[in-house]
Amino acid sequence: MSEITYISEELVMEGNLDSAGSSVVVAGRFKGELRAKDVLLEANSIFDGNLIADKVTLGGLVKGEVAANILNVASSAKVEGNLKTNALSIDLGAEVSGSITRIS
Amino acid sequence: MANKQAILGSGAKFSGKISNAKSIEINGYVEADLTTEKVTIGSTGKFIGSVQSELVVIAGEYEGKMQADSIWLTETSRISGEVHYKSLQMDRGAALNCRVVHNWNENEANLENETPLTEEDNQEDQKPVKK
Repeated sequence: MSEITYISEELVMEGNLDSAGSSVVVAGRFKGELRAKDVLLEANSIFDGNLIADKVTLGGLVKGEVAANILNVASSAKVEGNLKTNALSIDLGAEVSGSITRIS
Repeated sequence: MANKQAILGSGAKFSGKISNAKSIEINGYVEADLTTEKVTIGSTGKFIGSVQSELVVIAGEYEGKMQADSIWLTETSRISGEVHYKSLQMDRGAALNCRVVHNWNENEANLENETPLTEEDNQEDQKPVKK
């Protein structure tokens, strides 16, 4: 049985998704609060809201707040908002505007 | 993976809106109203809310009002609420506590009857005009 939660291209989900123990992959659109263990926002995805996870890769359009222990911002990402993380990497070409702070 | 699809993992809980979906597979817990082409509720899945779909396959729990062309309820399925269907398959062991309504295709039946009527109506309408 599938543990992964996958939101494919063009699909729109709005609300509250809690997937504490498992992974979430978003290729479409998500608006709201998202909690998971691992999160991958793919290159053409659109995310608007609050994202809390252990490991996060941002690849699409992101607006809002992201809190992750390990955070990677891929080159295709456009991020507008607040990033909270303990380990950050930003790939060349990524557009990031907002604040970056450590999780204390 | 094809577009407009969603899979919810067995540990996932979602409540909110899902739109522009073609196919959805639920192995976790979902509270939403759905309009789509295909819905699958896995044996670990639970869905609460209304469903409007062409094909629905349920092995888990469903609560709400469902309207579907074709429904397959497997042996582990538990349904409560209301089910409107055109064709229904139920396996031994499926637990239903709900209203079940068969809706045959009213539109097609009406069209067959109405087509000759409208032609006659038109002819009758034209006669007084010619006079």
